[in-house]
Amino acid sequence: MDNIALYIDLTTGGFIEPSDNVLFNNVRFTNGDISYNAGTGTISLNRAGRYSIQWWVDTLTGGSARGLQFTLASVGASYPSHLHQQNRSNKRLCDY
Amino acid sequence: MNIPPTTVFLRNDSPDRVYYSPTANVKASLMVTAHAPAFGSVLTDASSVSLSNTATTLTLDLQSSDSSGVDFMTNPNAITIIQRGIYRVDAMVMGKPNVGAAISLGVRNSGFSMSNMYQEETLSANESVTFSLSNFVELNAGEYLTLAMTSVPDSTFNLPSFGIGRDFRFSRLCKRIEPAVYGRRLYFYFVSIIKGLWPLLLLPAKSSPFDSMLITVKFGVGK
Repeated sequence: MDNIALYIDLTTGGFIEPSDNVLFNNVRFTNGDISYNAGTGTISLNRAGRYSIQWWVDTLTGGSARGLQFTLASVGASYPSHLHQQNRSNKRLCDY
Repeated sequence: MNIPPTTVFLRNDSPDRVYYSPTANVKASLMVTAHAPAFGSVLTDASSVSLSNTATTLTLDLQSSDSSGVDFMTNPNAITIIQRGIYRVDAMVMGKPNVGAAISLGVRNSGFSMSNMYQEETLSANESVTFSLSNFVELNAGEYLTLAMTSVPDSTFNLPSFGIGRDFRFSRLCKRIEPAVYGRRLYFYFVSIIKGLWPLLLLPAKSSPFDSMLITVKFGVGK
């Protein structure tokens, strides 16, 4: 478990369709038994343990009055399996 | 059955297409860090210790009931580091000398004094004192921590004869490294460590909102 870390970001612009994953294009740091698939946007955690995950998204004002919602979802994590944050104004979203 | 790997992804659950910021160089970011805490403490229930101007390594022959990732066996009266990392080190001694003396306490790494882990106080006879040291330090595998005291002139440093409890504990590492919290204690001096997350030190600082969450990944047979 020790020294497992991954740091990825997105530097290409454009847009993301509903239900699509954020495709981070830049792996800034990786260490240990963890991997990232840039084609699917999925991170694979290969070792049991506790992980801290931090994220944010910087967006343009959405065209919908229904707001924005990004979800940090997982398959296999015991807690939480589904976290999200909504922001109706626009701008930066970050998870807590 | 829950089998590795566990996958995590950040998804747009908005009802519509979302445009990334056209002005920000970085549109989104995600960081994952594994928590691998190590912790433990050594203690004593001795009633006194004889001190002189030569550093006396304290006999810390009791170990905390819970520990992880530390070695109590290789070096007696010490905590031996198993894995390199950033550790929080705390030490505390309560007591009073039988004669007026300058008393010092220091944490030592493999027999050598550590910077910022030293205190000295000039005390009257039977004047109580509490030495308390705390710092974050980088430690390598195989290094070991001890406590040492001196007295000028020589003295007998009496430790409290009776404690108010026997429990102590540390806070868990969670979103950020938090201060260790100790409850009541029977024993009167100890060294404790909590291992930090050294990969974080390799990552660039981020000034924008960058909060965290925790997940727990368990592999094995489930219902």
